[in-house]
Amino acid sequence: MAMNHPHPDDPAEDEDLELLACGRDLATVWEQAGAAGTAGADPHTAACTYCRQAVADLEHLRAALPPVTAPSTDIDTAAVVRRVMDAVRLELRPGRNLPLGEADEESWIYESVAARTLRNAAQQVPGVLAGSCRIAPPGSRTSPARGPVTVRLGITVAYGLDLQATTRAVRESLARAARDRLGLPVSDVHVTVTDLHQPPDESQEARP
Amino acid sequence: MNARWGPDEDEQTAEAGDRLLTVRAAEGDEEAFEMLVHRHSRAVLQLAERFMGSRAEAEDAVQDAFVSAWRSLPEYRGEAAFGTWLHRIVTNRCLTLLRARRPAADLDAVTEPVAPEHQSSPARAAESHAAVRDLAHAMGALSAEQRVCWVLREIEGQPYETIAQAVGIRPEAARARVFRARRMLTEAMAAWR
Repeated sequence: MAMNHPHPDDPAEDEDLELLACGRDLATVWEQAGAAGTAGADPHTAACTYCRQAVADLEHLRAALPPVTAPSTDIDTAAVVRRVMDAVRLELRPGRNLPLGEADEESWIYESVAARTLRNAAQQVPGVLAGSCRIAPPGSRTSPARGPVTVRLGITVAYGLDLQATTRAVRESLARAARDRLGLPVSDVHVTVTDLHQPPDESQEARP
Repeated sequence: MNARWGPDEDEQTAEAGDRLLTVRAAEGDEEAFEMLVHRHSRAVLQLAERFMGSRAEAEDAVQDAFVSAWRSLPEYRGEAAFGTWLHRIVTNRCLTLLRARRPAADLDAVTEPVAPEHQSSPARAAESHAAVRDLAHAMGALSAEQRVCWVLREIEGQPYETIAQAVGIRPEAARARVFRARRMLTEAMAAWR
């Protein structure tokens, strides 16, 4: 067993080979007690006073542990969530600036803000959840130009839906939101179905 | 907008939901990140409290871990589920805090038992009550690595390979840490029995 042959570059592990009076290795006895939940796995251990004492010591220790299923209802997660989000909002990652409106205007919108609106628009289509949403202005990465943007959207669709009809509906909803809600001219919309998901509120028998 | 990710979803749905939220959070969607924090804070707070032995320190550790998760999300490639990834970040944060807390204290040097508030009542009525307190006291003498490995093994029930990955050591080293912790704790508790 690995315990009995410590790795040569870790001499400290030699100290841990502790033999009981019966000759059994304590670490191994404890491991077996852990695996079996009782001392009954090894006929020797069940009969041996030293092994049984060692296992009893471990059981005494375990009895003092908090139960694994202890209800943790007294944990105030709301306060932690609030503090985390306060810190997170101090270091937002807004993404790049996208040109908003006509070519002669000097209006811009953060990619993350536009993406939120476009994801919500996609999710208006029943059975659609939106994931990645990247919005690229024309021009190169280093020198973006003003003009219609390219949208790349990842969605997951509920099982059983017509994918073609669904992605078409997503495109339309997205184009409408870009035009009416953002005033963001869009040249291309690429929709990728990245996964299918189990529709919510569905009875067992309705599943494929 | 996120009403469809309710608390009653099964594990598979939860993971699929996490994947989507993680992708969005990586792109800077803080609402998606807030959902992830909501979903996972209870589990990691519980874990951190077991590592740290106090609620307040656990909350600090978890808060730091979430913020560093937010920063690292753009580099997160989704090899592990978000929950597993976060679990590792919390473990590492607690390790760092535990290392800073006590430079290899030995049992005699521990003056302050780190029992949770509700366990530190002076009543000695139940023996199990005393045992819980004794254990909290004895745990104060473990090294940061021993303590973390032991909690992951004995309370969280994780395999040594997983523990080794989370702590950044070899599985044999994790096994050795757990054994040392068990030996120290059983000795301490036998002494007070």
